[in-house]
Amino acid sequence: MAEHGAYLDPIDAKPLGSKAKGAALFWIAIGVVGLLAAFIFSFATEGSVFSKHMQFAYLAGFAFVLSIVLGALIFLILTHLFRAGWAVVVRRPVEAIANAMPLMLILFLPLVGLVLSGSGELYPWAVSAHHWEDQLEAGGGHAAASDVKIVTVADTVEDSHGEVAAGDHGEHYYPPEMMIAKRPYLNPIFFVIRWVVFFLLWIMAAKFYWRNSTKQDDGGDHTLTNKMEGWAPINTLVFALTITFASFDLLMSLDPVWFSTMFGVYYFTGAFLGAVCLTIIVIMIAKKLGVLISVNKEHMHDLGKLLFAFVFFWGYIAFSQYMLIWYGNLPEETAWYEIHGWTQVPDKVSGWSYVGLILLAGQLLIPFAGLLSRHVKRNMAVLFCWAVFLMVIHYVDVWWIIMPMFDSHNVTLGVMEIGCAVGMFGLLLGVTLLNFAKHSPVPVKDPRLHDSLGFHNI
Amino acid sequence: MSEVAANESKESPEAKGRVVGIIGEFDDVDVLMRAAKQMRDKGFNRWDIYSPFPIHGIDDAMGIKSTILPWIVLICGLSGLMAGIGLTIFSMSTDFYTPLMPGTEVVGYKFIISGKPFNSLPAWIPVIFELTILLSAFAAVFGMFILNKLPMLYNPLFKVDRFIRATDDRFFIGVECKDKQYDRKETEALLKKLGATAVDEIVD
Repeated sequence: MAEHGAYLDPIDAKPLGSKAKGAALFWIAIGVVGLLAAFIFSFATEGSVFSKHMQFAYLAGFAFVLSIVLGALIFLILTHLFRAGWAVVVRRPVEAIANAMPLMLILFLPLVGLVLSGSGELYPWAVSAHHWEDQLEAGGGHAAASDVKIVTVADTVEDSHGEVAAGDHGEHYYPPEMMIAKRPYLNPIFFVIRWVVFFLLWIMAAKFYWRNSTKQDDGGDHTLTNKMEGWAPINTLVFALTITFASFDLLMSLDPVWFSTMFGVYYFTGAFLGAVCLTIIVIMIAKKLGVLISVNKEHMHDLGKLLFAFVFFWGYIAFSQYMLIWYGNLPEETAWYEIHGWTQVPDKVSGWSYVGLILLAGQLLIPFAGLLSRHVKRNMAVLFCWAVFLMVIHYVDVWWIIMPMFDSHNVTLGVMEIGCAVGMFGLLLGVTLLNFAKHSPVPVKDPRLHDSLGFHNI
Repeated sequence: MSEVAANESKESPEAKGRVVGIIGEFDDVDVLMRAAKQMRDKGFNRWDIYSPFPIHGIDDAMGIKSTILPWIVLICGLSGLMAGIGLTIFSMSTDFYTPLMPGTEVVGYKFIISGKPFNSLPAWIPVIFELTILLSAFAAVFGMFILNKLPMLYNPLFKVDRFIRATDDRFFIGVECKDKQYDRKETEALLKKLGATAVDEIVD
């Protein structure tokens, strides 16, 4: 290929060092203040630092930032898998995000404590086995199971004649037989074992790519590239399995009765979307700090294409998940959508219904139309605005999945939710910038650097 | 056209048939890029560059405007969307009297499928989506063919012996007689001045 005049600016070969410290500390401060505010507010209003409301808000924030870091990790693995030449100059920010994985482990510890405490406030299955056996003996079995209501969109017409009003028993009712049957998988000890394995694999993968890529900066050893590419296929498989089961554990098991085999992919699409958004944000911050001038609108165009692709892929997966459940019309599956307000049954429509509609518009229809044009993708300022917008919408997505399990009647968005989300995002961005500042902003000795510098979209 | 062709055949008696243009051979990419910019600035518009590999930035150097293909795809995609919505609703749940044919009634199939309403948007979306994608893809592929005047089964360029190296190690600038700026002698002189190592006639 003929890349004319493609050379690396010396600015991009020097680590940011202390120049990034101000921005990094600013974001870490925001993170600490946000989290503290959330905990203090929880104590002030609910009388406990880690109240039930706070647990859900914390989980929403954690699932949001974890998805971004996981998305960055798979983004990294995929660029090596495909030997992507264009992505070399934007790879360091992605590596810096993925390398924040140990932070995720620290943020995850409160959730481990919660699951092991056996309170069952956050995860209904995280109680001792006796809980369900006692309930079964007390006659909470078959009789009550028939009270679980089935409502679908199609039933609206028939049901509006009065059956809906009758017998509004627990939407959070879980048949004890089923909970005992699911116990071998959904129990606190196995949960902790699984997550130890997940984090071990994720941190190992993130560190592997970070270490080898930065090691190459010094010596320029091309075999390191072969090594990173050689491990990419296995890492892809490992990642696919771990993110699927992680999403089952973290989000799907909030409602232990519900199941959707597509849920892992659903979480992955949002994760990748969030990772591309944060990559664009970090690139723009780095540009503001005076580095990453090698990243031009050709690279932004490609990041924009990924953003567009995953906006649509998210919509495709979200709809596929919904349509199968809607058509199948199984009560234990449709109940999830009812709790989340995705229904037309008049007295089941809640604030969450409107959040669902905001998601449909905000994460699919509006960005699809907005990102369609290549002129948008090639304009850095406009693309940055879309990245920030989609970042917020991605949180709304996670929040909409989690919070209705806490309160399915009212939309809860207060200091705890915003504090946790902004706080953890601030910590992630701060740690990312600290990682980023340690090494040269561009992998200077990558064998495909020249391809990337001279990259052109036709 | 016929006048030009007649003149050409007088000037070069060996040439049999009609001259459709001239072609200049280049052996260096940078020279070619500079030549392309000069040709663009001189106002040529019926000319092209032939190269063994893609040259980045050649589009700008040649002054090629961006394609209208995306708009064709958008329009066809939206047509597919409308067709999908129309098809599903019309065939499934239509129910009206036709004013033009008194006494007849248009009624949709109205199948009851697992108890869903006749107009169930979630069930229609796959049909609507696929039609949108189908028409967009057709527009993209066939639009590209039409805009590029493909398939082109015959091109007099291949009658130039030298042109075989366009797939190997030489670059060519071909100018058609139809170009308003074209003049047999001046254009040849221009190509030589721009660095062409040889200039040939393209004879149909």
